[in-house]
Amino acid sequence: MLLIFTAVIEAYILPLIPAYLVIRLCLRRSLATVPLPLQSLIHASLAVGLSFGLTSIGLFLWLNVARQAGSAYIIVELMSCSGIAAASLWAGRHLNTVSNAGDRISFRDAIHGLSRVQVLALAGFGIGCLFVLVWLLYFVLQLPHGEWDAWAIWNMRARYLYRAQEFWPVAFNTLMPHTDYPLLIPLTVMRGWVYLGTETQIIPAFVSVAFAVAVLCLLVTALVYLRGMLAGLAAGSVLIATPFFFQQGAAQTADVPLVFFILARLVLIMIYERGRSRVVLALAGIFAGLAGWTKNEGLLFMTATSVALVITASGDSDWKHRISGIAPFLAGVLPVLLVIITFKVLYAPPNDLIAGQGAQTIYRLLDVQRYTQIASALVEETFRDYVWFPVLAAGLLAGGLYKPKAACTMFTVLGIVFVGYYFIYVTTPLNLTYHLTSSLNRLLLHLWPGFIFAAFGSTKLIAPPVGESRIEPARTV
Amino acid sequence: MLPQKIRTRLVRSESRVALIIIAISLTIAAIYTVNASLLKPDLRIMVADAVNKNNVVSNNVLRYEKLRELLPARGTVGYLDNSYIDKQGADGGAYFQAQYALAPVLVAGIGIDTKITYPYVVGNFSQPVNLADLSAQLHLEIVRDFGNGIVLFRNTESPH
Repeated sequence: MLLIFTAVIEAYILPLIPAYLVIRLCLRRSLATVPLPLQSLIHASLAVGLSFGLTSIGLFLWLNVARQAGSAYIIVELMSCSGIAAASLWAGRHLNTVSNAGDRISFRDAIHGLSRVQVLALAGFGIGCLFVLVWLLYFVLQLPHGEWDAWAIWNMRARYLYRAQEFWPVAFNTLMPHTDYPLLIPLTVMRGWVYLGTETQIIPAFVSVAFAVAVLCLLVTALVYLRGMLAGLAAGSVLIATPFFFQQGAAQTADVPLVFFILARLVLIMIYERGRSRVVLALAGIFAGLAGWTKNEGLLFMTATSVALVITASGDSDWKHRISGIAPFLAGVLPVLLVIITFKVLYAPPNDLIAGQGAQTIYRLLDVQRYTQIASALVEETFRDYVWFPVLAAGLLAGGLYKPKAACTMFTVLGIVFVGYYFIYVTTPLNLTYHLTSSLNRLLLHLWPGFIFAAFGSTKLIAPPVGESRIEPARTV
Repeated sequence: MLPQKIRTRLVRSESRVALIIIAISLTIAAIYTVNASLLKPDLRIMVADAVNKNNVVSNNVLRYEKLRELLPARGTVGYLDNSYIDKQGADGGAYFQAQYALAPVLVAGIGIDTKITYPYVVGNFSQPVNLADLSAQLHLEIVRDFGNGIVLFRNTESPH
């Protein structure tokens, strides 16, 4: 047990430090006035996805060059992490001259600055979280190998990659299902096993739960920063009132990690709108790319977010502004996209949904019954697992939009992905009923926390803007 | 959109929002605790289903453990189960679980009319099967019967 604990620290907690420092550096200007405890939570939540994503890419590149991951890989990775951490600290001290007023607000000050009502709400939310956490751990213990997709796809791939050693490309043999799926999760799990020197189901369970907790933490803290404390807690309450989210959080599949990257991208849209810092846009590009490195559906999200950005930038009359609103994002997304292309070209077999297209696609597109069947399944699923959707939608319609430009970008991204998912079902070569039953609830889950964030971040109904948030205790500065 | 007056009142009613959060959180606490949800009445069944399915996975990983030691470090082996004998479609779940348990060895399902070309074949039988007849029919010889429905065969016609 001690060995597993040490491996988790080395494989997952140590790389969090440079990721945390890089994110802190990137968001320093944008979050300058945010109290330190809140800032730290936002940075830490984002760092979970960034560190897991970039280290998995690191392992993929390593395997391509060295064929096998052993002690040399561990040494190189830990040295790289130390180097990045040192460089970030140096850059933080020498390059950035922004006065970080928020750093002067300690945890104690922030707590003292809360009103009685806010403390009460925080306590209530804390109790809810505690019970969810216990339930999550219970579910993890009952599902050591995860749900069907976990052992049949993600953990299976991790096993083949780890056990085959220098023959790791065997993991993409078409005898196994869906070997074209991207590798963020299998390689992240494999990293833990490489550090430990053996396999344990605690590693994929840890990765799965870490992403679920990071989604909740990012949703709440980002909204506390953007719209005030009660908006953040209310959004968090809606998420923890979605049992399906936490079931998937314990299931060891790639759906919750994809949810994380979609949410992170949307959070960074809002942060970018406040400070217009290009480095935030580049960071958003990296997160969008990592969504594509997590699941094939992430590639659709990556495209959607790029299209939404182009649409938003096209409203600007000055072409220089247009380019500066797109170029940093592309600079972030392109390196990850190159890795995805390398994987797809060198190793991945054709995707079954794409390979199944042909003349029949036209008939499927013209079949009205397919559209109604999908719509009816959507309504049914909404009232089964996403009962809060109509409430949030009504709130948005009734209250109007705060920050319409950012809201427009967020809803455009979510809308494009939603329409994309709809047409995946319309054109699917698989049996439509089977395809809907086996995946619709998870596909909607990809958009759900992003929608909660966009709804609470955009509505005029709930919280006052940041400047009026009582979490910033003016008297302590 | 709501009239401005109502919207302003809603925005200012901070304590009401707090009460809603507390109410939702406490309800969630109760829901998760008793594991029988108002939002999702079949939550308990869902958990039980998942647990049962997973026990199958855990059990299968254990069932294949001894066989794994006898297989070559890599390569491809054939796979047979009752669905082959019954001439039905392959049981995807059992087949994928064999792959999961036997990694990094590749596991290929054997079709009803397919000639077996793999040096070894893994049998996974949940129902009783006449192994002698099956071996003779498919030109296989039994390497070991593990006694838990798992059997390792060698292909007598394989050049390896």
